Amino acid sequence: MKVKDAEIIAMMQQPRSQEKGLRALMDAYQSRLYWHIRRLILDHDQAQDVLQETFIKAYQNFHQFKQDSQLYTWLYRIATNEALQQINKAKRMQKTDEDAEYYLQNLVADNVSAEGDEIQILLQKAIQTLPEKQKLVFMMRYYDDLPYEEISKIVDMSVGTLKTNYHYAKQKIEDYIKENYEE
Amino acid sequence: MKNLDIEKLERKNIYTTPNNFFENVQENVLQKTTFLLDKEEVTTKTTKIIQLNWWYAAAAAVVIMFGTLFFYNNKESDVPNIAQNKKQNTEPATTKTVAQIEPTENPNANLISDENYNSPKSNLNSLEKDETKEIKKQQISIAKIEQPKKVSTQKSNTDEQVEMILASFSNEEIATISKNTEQDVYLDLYN
Repeated sequence: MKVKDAEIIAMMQQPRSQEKGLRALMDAYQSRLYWHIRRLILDHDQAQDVLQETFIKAYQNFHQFKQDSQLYTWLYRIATNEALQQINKAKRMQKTDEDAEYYLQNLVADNVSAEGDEIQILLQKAIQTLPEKQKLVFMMRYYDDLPYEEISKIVDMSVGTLKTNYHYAKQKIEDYIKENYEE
Repeated sequence: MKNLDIEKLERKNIYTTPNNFFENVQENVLQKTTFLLDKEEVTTKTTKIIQLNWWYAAAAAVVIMFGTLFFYNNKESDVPNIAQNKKQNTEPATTKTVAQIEPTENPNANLISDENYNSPKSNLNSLEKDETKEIKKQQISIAKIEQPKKVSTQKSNTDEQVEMILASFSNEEIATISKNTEQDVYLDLYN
């Protein structure tokens, strides 16, 4: 993976091979980024827009990538910021925070496949009840298995705070599932 | 559900995506980014930025300075020449009047004295004629000698002539001439 990142960076830095580098970048990270955005935003069309905007911004600002972190860390940061902007837009449409939570849980129900089992659906709904940063930390650790050191660069939090947040998030989700699971 | 541990659950994506979704995303992104590329190329092609280095401007300023100094110095060098010409013109005339002409050794002097010694008035007239002829010859020779200096003394000759003419006029005549000259000046202006 590291070698591939180096090749992508080299291609993106040369004007003649920028298009080829962008294709390689999207091939390597579009799936991971999409699902990260989708779990935050829930709606497919909005997630698609955010994903496209992420890559366009990555292309436009590639000269600002200082290579002091992993390439996917930098991409995750762009994607997360774009997704949070979209979420905040949607929240402003809701009158209260409770309405926002109710809206998100409805979105989960609307977007879940018919084959999805109940626990997985409840898991998703439980994630939507978490505060914004806790949600982010939990999803990046739980679904993407990112190291705490890399997560700290994305959300600007210390490793200790991240670990605490993840622990509390996990407990909340389990409690939510236990309360709402109908046997 | 008492001992639920979500860490043990499968990491599933329970959301749906349309077919060929990721291919469409790539095409959309490339379209927008190549559009940006084309725009950048167009702007780079159409707009040429000519950077004027500061030393170009400094060199131009130095050249202009030297040029003006050179031009100014040439002008100043011309002025003394003109002044010298004026001085030459104001110097006293080198032409000799009849009185100043020194009598030269006349080769025909003996003839005059010998041949015309015993003649009457006609002999005196002939003597006068000879003298005027000699004077004219001397004047012509002086004019010939002074010919190379024609350019510098031309003005002085004309000034002298003017002075001689003015000296011949009376005050009344000069006053009338001055009035006429003023009118002529106005006429010259409007012609």
